[in-house]
This record gives sequence, C-alpha cells and structure tokens, in this order.
Amino acid sequence: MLTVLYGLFLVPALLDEAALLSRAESAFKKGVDLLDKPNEAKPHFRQAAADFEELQRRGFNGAELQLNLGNAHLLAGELPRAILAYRRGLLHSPSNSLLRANLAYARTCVNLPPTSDVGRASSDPWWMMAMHQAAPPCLVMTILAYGTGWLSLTRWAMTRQGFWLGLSGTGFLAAILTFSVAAVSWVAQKAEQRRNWEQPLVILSRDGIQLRKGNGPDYPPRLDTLLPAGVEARLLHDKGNWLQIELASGEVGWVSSADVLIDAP
Amino acid sequence: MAAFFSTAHLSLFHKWRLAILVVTPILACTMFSPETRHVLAAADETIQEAAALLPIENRPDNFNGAVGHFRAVTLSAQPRELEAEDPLKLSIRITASSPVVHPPARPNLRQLEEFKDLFYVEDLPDADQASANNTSWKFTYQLRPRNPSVKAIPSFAFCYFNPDFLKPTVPARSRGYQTIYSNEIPLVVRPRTPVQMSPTVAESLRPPETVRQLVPVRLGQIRRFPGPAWLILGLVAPPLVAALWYFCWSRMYPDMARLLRRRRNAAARQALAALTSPVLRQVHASPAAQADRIAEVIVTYLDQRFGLAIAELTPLEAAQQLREQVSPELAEQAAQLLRSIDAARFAPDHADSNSQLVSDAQRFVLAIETSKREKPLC
Repeated sequence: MLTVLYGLFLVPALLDEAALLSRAESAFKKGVDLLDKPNEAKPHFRQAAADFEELQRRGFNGAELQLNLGNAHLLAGELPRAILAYRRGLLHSPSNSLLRANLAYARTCVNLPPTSDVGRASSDPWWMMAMHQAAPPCLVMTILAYGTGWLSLTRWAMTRQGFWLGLSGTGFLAAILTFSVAAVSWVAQKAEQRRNWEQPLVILSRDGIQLRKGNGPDYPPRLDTLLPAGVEARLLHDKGNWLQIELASGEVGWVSSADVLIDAP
Repeated sequence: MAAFFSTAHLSLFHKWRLAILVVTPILACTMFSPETRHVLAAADETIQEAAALLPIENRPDNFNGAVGHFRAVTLSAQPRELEAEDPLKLSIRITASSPVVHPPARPNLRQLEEFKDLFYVEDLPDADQASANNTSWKFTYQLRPRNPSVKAIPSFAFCYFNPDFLKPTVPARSRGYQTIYSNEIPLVVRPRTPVQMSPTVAESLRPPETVRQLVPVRLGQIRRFPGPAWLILGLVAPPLVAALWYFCWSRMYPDMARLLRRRRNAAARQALAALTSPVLRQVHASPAAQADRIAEVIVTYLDQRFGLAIAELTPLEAAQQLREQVSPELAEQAAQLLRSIDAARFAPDHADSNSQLVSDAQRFVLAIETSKREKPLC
C-alpha cells in the first residue's frame, strides 16, 4: 500500500524537480553557446536562473545548486544575485574552491573606485580556509585512528606485545588531535550560521545607492561616494523601510530596503 | 555737430522712435513710481535688488529671472541624425526687442522633465555668447539622446517679466510674467551599432571557465557534518568490533589463551618449588650436585616458559636468546645467574655458596614473572 502511494504521489513530484533541473541545465548550455551574442544569450541564462531558483524555493539546496544559480545570474548580468548565491553556497561548503573562485571574480565586477576600499569585500584569511578544507579529511582520519587504536589494543590483549600497545596509544592520540580540528571547524561553521541568522547578508541591488546617516532620505550622506551594485554588507537593524547595514569594509549607515537583496533564512 | 543731431532726414516713424528713446527716461523719472524708477534706473544694480521688487503672486516656477522686452527664443541643433547616446550641440538663442533690465539666466535643462527624460544634458558655458547691446544671448549645451525613441528636441519655454507691468497705472502686476516658446527640432535617432571587438579583447572579457560551466546537482539535503547517529555509531563501533574479535579469537583458540595463562604460572610454580624444596639439599649433598640441580631447574623453567633450549648454550648465548623475550636487564641477570651456576658446578672452590645461588635463582624466576616484556608461546 505504501509502495502504491509512493508511486502515485511522490514519484511524480520528484520527476518535476528532475525535469526542472534538466530544463535549467539545458537553458544554461544554450546561453553558453551564444556567449558571443550577449543579447541572445541573456534570456537563456535568465531562464536557467529562474529554474534554479524554483528548485531552491521547493526546498532543494546545496553548494552545487547555489554555484549553478550564481553562474546563471552572473552571465545574465545580475551581479548582486550572483554574489548572493555564491555566498549562500559557501555557507553549505566553505571549502568549495569553485564557489570561492567565482565569488572572487564576481567581486572584481563590482564597480568600486580603484582608489578606495569602501565597500570592498575580502576573502577569508588563509588559516580559516585551511581549517574549512581540513575538516572533512580530519573526520575520516579520526575514524581511522580511533578504529586503529581499538584494534591494536585488542591485539595487544591477545599477544601482550608492547608494539601493539604503543600503536594503540598512538591511534587514540591521533584520533583526539584530528577530532579537535574537526570540532573547531564545526564550531566555526556554527558560529557563522549564527551570525548569518542574527545579521543576515545584504547585497546592494543597484548602482548609485547613497549610504545615509539616518533612516530616511532627508538625512545627510554617510559617504562622499555612491555605492555600486554588488557591495556586500550585514544587516544590523531595520526601521520601517530603512535598513541599518555595515559594509564589508566597516562603514555603518542606512539604506532603503528597496535597494538591497537580503539573505533571509 | 548740429548736422549729426539733425532729424530732418528721418521719417516720421523714426522720429517717433527717437522721441520715445529720449523721452522715456524723462518720463521714467517723472511719471513712474519711485520703485519703478529705481528698477528702470538700476540697470547696473545687482540681480537680487531688481528681482526683489518683482511681484511674487503668480510667479511661475520656471521663471528665468529675466526682466525686459523679450521677443523670441529659438533652438538650433547639430547634427540632427545620430545614434543613441551620441552627442549633439544645442544652442538656445534668446533675443530682446530692446536692452533689458535684467538679462536671462542660463536655462537649467536638467531640471526640465521634457529634457532630462529624453537626453543626457551637459552644460557648455564656455561657448555662451551675449551681444554687446544687451539684446541677444546664446546658451550652448551638449545633449545625448538616451534611446532611439527620442524623436525631437522639445520646445523650450522661456518665462520672463515684462517691466511695463511695473507701472503704477497697471493694476495686475503679476500678469507681467510672460512666456514665449521656442521651436521644436525633429531628430532621427538610430540604435547604436554593436561594437565589434577584436577576438583577443573579446576573449579577455569573457567570464572565466569556472563561471561558464555547470556542476552536477544532487537534489537532496546535503550534510557537511555527519549527524549525531553517525557520530555515536563511529564512537561505539570500533570497541564493539574489537570485543567481538577478541571473543571470536578466544573461542577459536581457547586452549591457546588458557595455555598461555596456565603455562606461565605452572612453570614458575614448579621452578620455585624445586628451588625451595629441602630435597634439593638432602638429595644433592655436594655443592656441585646442588648446582647441577639448580641449573636443571632454571633450564627447565626457561624451556617451559619461553620454549628456549639453552642447556648446551653458554651463558652469553643464552642471554642473547633470552633478550628476545625479556628486557636486557633480565637477560643480563640470567647470564650472571648461569655463570654463577657454571662456577658452582665446575669450580666449586671459587663459587658463591649454594644458598646464595638458590636465592639468586628464586629472584630471577620472580623477576621474570613480574616483568612486562615477554613473548608468549602462541
């Protein structure tokens, strides 16, 4: 009975998502074939991005989906949405090299003045990236070392040879060390998730946005220059239709909620 | 000089005009109100002083600030056929019928919706011109049509104030604000021709390969870290496997384990019992015989305990074999014991007493049993 119900209701829903994914990938590939004619390619990339977003809306997520979504947005000319997708993907997989590379490229497309660091986002420090990349293999090594410790201990109980006892001690020690690294990475990921929950990511969605000192257009500008689309910030506070944000470079000010994309959970 | 000022050659019309030119200032000083005389006579006054005297009621928003008798405003533009966002030069010429009280200000086309919605406007004040007689002004701009839907440069409305309405006899001074309109200039705006880049430049501007590719998407929730169930399994599984292995080994080789424990204990018990037995002294009365017996006990013990056949070996050779099973200290102790036994057997006059030998042998056996480094029989 359950099998029949599964076949009647769940399988068709799965097929829809698969068909949606296939259509998105097909549209993306068509756009890539027409890259030399941007005006003809962009509609295909927009279609691909819309399909990827529909998959996300249906509850599917992951670093790969966000990467493809970001690529589609970027090639369609939607730089802020591309940066948002890449940042979301990195929440799932901080050590994903493709996401990092594409995010770095997208950041170069943000039209910031070359002589100023206002609004300029930077990548994570090297030690944090190393920690993220070390987490998965550390987990594997923990399991292997832990298992080796126990098996060596058993063999020592059988033979009473000092070698096995030494190997067992080494295995347990290695397991503790590698698990410590994995635990630190897990704690760091949780801390970043908490931060994203408390201070969601904000991306400026158009060029020429003025950062103001207060929550309204009558307040004086906070900066001398207008901010371009794609600048990354964190949401600190909201008041009506105005948001207090902190730029990646540290400046704090207010913008209209109509001018930003918010990474709402 | 008199001929110069003579008006005989002038027509009647020109005589009237001359009369007006001469009389008007006199009349201005006599007929107009003091305020008007101040305005008319303040040709060199500052702009603010003159404008402050104009009525505020019904003042249009697009009032230029000009005061005088203006006649026309005309537009001229070049080129009139161009592509979208290409520049064209627009000139606005304002002419007056007579020297004005206050000249026109430079029109701000960016504030006019009909211009700013259609064009990108750039001022060119360096090209402005004004006539010496204060009756003609030309203002120059650079416009760029925003898109091909722009069909014309719209008409420009010039609002000025006619000073005649400052006369005290004119009741409604606010009607002095008057507007004249310029001509409209049709344009032909074509779409921009796509720029053909060189292949090298085009390739350098293409997004990188990582942006142009797709990665396989797994439709499902991906966890970067295993859940609690997996962690508990990882914690519990190895000791369970180890216990299971040990259990299976003890079941497969029960005698081996038992034998390992029993053999170790039996050999030590037998050796210690033999060494402490009073029979050792009674049966083997001579020191040499007692030493032989002690040697036999030790050799048997080592054979049972470690499987070593050291009966025919020298103490040094025996110690080397034993070193593989026990610590170097114990091996050396064994070598010393065996040397002492050999001395008691073959040179009893120079050997230690047999009681010392027995206690040494007992200590050796106990040291072996309490030591940790050993290789069992299995």
